[in-house]
Amino acid sequence: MNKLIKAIFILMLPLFAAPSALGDDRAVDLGLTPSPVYSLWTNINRAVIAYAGVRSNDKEWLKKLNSMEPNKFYNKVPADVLELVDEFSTKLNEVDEDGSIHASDTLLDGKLPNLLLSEDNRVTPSLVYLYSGQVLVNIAGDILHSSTTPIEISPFFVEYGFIGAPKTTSDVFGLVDLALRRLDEIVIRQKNDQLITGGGVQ
Amino acid sequence: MIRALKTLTINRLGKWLAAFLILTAVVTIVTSGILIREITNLNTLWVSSERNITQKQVYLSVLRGSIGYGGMIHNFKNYLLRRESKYLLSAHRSMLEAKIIFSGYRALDISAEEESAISDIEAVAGEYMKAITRTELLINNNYVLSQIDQQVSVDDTPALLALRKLTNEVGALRQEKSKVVSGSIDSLAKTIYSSAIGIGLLLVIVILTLAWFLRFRLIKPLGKLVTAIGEVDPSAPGLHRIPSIGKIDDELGMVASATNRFLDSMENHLSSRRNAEKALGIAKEEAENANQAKSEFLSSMSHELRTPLNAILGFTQLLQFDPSTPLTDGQKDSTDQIIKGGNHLLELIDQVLELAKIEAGKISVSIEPVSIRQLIDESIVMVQTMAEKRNITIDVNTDNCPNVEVMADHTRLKQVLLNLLSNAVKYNNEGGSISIIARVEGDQFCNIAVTDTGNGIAEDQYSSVFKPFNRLGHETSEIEGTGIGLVITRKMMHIMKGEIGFESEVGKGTTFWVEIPLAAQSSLPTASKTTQAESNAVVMESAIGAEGEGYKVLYVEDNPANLMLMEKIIERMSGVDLISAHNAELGLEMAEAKHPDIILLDINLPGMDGYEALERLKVNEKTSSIPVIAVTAQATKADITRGRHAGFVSYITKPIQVPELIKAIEENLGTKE
Repeated sequence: MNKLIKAIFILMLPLFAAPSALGDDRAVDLGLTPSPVYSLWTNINRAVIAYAGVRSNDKEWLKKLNSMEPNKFYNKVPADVLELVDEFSTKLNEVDEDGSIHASDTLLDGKLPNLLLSEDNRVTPSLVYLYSGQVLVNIAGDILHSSTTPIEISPFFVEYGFIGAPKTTSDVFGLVDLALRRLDEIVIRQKNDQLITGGGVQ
Repeated sequence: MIRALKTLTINRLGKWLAAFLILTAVVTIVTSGILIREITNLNTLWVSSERNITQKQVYLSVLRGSIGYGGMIHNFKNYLLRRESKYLLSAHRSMLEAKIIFSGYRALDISAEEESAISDIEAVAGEYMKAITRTELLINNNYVLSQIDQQVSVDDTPALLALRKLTNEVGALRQEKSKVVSGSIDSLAKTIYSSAIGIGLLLVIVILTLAWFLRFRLIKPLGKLVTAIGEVDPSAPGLHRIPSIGKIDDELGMVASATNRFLDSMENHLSSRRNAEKALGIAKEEAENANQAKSEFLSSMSHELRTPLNAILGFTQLLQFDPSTPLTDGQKDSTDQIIKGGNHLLELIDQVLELAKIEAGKISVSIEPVSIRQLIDESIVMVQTMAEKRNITIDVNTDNCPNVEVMADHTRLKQVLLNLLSNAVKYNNEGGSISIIARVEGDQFCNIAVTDTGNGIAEDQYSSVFKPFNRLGHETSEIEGTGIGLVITRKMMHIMKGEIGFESEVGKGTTFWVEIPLAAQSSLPTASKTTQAESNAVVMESAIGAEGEGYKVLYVEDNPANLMLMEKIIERMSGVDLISAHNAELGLEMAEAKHPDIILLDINLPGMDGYEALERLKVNEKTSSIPVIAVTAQATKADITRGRHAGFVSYITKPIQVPELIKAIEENLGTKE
């Protein structure tokens, strides 16, 4: 009899366990992989160099910035990237002459409420993309704002395709880190009053 | 299945029911689990579908905003017209947002048509991106609007069509999903319906099986069993047997079988008992017949013994009372011994007859109030002479119950008391004493205790006191006795609802007591009656001295010795002549011819007996007035009663007591005068 009861109980377990396994997963993602983000930060790095060129005429320094290479990182997760993006964004505000154009932190701000994060607030590449896209817009604005001569920003918004293996989060982290290091150089120059204060374009 | 049901037993049904219930429980639980899972899946499908569609709608809305008015195209045109860099930035920003919306839409579950539409929109967006880049270059190179317009041109019709197509697709998708969900709900409802029917059928099967079993395999056979058991007659179980109920190996069948075995056993037992009862009845009947034969034998023996005793005692008395030839002292002693031995033999015969009658249940008593004091006095008179011969004094104490009456047969109770007093005298020491104390015990009994000062009874003889023919060691002594007096006494007491007992101490004496139920208290006449013994004494004395007055006595007797004795007795009576006949027929002729004054008629006569002769005498007018006295050895009380009722004026039993006979003759001769 005990064996029978045990058998019935064991038989029932998966039936009752099934609904919980099929729980309401509200994770919503925009489906982006690290590759588009990597493309975005490639453009941001180019924009940073362009911004440095707008603010300085030091050919050597600019050459140095241009020659900086991304470091290799491993096992990075989107949250690590997002943290670095945030740091970059903060520093970018510091170098901004008046900070007036940085109206938003992310793309689609307020347009997709509660749809970007999963319930456990897991950071996804898509979220990193949204923050990073806004960073690109901001730095493009800074370029326009600081440049005294007409300059084209549309090339910074071209999406690159990459040959070979898809880019990883660690690859993205390396590019963000590179941009941050380049921005640090700019900050140092700014603190040393070695940057040009531009009139900007309209 | 049907076969299994027919052989279903209570035990097997219990197992089946348990299995059925477990199966039903399992089916219910599994079905419930399946239903829960189905419902959960349905809910998941519904939620997922709703979220998917809702998300697509949101994406489409955002896409319209990013590309259309207030979006990329709007900012592009403003930049084109106003040449302000903020519109360029906003255009690029909107483009980035559009790109991510494209990605997000594709991440959803989309159809090929949707993919195609998204690609169309994306292509138009790509064209716009090129247009923006070209426009920025042209503006930076100071081209005028018309020049730019000639170089930059984007056809957004495919995008508009694709957006409409997507909107329609989402609507259709909602309808399709609704159908799917509706279908799933229908399927679920069917599953629930089927499960309910399945479980219900299972329960119906269980209930029907149970009902069938209870009705046909339990209640009905049980009813039959109860009815059959109720019809069993415990006194004749062989007439009924429990019919076959169910199968041999089911429980009720076993009960019926066991009951039948019990009935078989009971029948065998009762059969044995009936046989035993029958045998017992036969034995009883045989015993009764034997007892009857014994009684008849005793009665016959009594008659046969009394006849020769009559001659012995009668002639001895004649010898003793013959004035013409007085006996010498030695002869006197010899005749005394003869009379003493004869009387003892007579007493023994009487008591044996009495005991036989008691044991045969033929004794009858007449229970009536009897005065204790009077009874004691009458009894003392009868033993007084014997006590005086041995110098034994008798003290009576009835102070405690001077006027008490008990419920008893007067004659029988007197017989009891006489027996106790007689024993107290016989077994007392010379010069001893007897004490009679009567007292009332409680309010229901009177106790009469007779105490002697004899040698007492040894304790080891207590159990033999009331056994017949046991004289407790006095068999060889000079004390006369039959050994059945106390036996008769105790039986008498029991017949009269009384009790008898004794206490004794060796060397000091014995007390016998009787306990008799009390009658209602009443004052008794104090005048004493003349006792029968006194009367007999008077008659004996006067009879011997009577003189004949010329009377004729006819004696009908077949025994020559008795005839001779009667002749001798009548010779002593002056004026009385005896004529005789040796049978009834001759006696009748002589009575008619001689016309005697008295007829002495024996009853046991050859040929016609005494009763028939008496009847003929009474019907013959010539003889009807002659008094007829029975002189017979038929000496029981019943015989005497019958004789009185038949018409004998006197009933003289053999052995003849000469004074009694003479008295009867004299009285009847006087009657005749």
